[in-house]
Amino acid sequence: MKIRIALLAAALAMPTLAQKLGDNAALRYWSAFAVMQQETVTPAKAKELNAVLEGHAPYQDTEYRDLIQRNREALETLHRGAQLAVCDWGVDYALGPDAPVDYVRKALGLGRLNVLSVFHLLQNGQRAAAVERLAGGLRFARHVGQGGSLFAALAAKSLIVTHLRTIAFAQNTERDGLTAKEKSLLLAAADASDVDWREALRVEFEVSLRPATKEGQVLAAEYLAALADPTRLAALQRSITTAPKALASRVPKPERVLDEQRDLAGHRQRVRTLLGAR
Amino acid sequence: MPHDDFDRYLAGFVPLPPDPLPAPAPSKRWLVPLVLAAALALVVWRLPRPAPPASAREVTFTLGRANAVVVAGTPWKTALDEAAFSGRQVNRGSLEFLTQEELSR
Repeated sequence: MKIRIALLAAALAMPTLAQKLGDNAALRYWSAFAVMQQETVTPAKAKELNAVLEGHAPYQDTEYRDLIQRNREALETLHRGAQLAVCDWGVDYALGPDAPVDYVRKALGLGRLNVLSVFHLLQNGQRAAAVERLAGGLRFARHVGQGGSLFAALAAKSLIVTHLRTIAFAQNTERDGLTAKEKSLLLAAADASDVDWREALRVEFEVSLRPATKEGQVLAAEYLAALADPTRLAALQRSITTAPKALASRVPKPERVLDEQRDLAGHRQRVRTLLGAR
Repeated sequence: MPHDDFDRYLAGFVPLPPDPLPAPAPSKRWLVPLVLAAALALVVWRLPRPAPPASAREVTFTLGRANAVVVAGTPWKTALDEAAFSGRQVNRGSLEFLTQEELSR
């Protein structure tokens, strides 16, 4: 009898397990990367495109609409993935520093294409779709940083800032600004899009740097503490200076990480104020 | 010359060996095929070859390489810009040193 009950319970649990495994946003994102087409983005074109995304150059629809059209399927797949709560990139951390993390580069490209598509939609009067893409892009950006090392965190931060900047652009350039509903949607997405810097540095130390010595472990603990409490920065910098050269030369500069943290918080606060958050 | 004298002359005549034949010039027949083969090799070498698949040329981006990027002096924004649309040009700019970096480890 007990065996029957156990078998029944296992049978009932199977679909749930299968559903959970399939509900991984990273799987959708990998599908999106597979159909992403950026071959025509030459280094010169990439430079122009980055200038547009940073607000240093105007968006020219005639220049980019073909690129956006070619990547429509990839972008739609991205947004289906961004609806999911769970994102596990499945990095093989057992490989240590040799673990492939190509998804970060691909995500950077796709995330930037998403922002470009927002400009395209705004310029063609499709504001509701543009707002959806901004909210979805912010969720995607947060997913990019999840479970990764510092480089993934930096990529996530870069994508979040680019999306926040575009929200400000939409609010400032759209006639009468965004609606209350649109603002509410974007505020929720902006508030939810954060980067876990401590987790990123933990991965950096444990997987990428593998500080086997006690000094290394102490340094890692000091680093994580300094991220939470910047008053410990000076002590951490001294510890890095006196650490074995092989380790010290591979430790990211903590002041740069803190700068990135502050920069992201500043961008988010500006957008919150612009959208009238209380 | 009287006949006897001529017989005596003939009896004492020691013919000289003929001059040796002129030594044959060293044959250069091997040179022609060699030149032809070299020319053929050059032509084949310079023939346009189909590009290898992109994946074969791309450098896999690993945690170790990512760490090398974040500890390098390059501004992080530059490194991210180059990585974003790197595609087949992954060996450019601030990512270029990574191969050497990895090799030196």
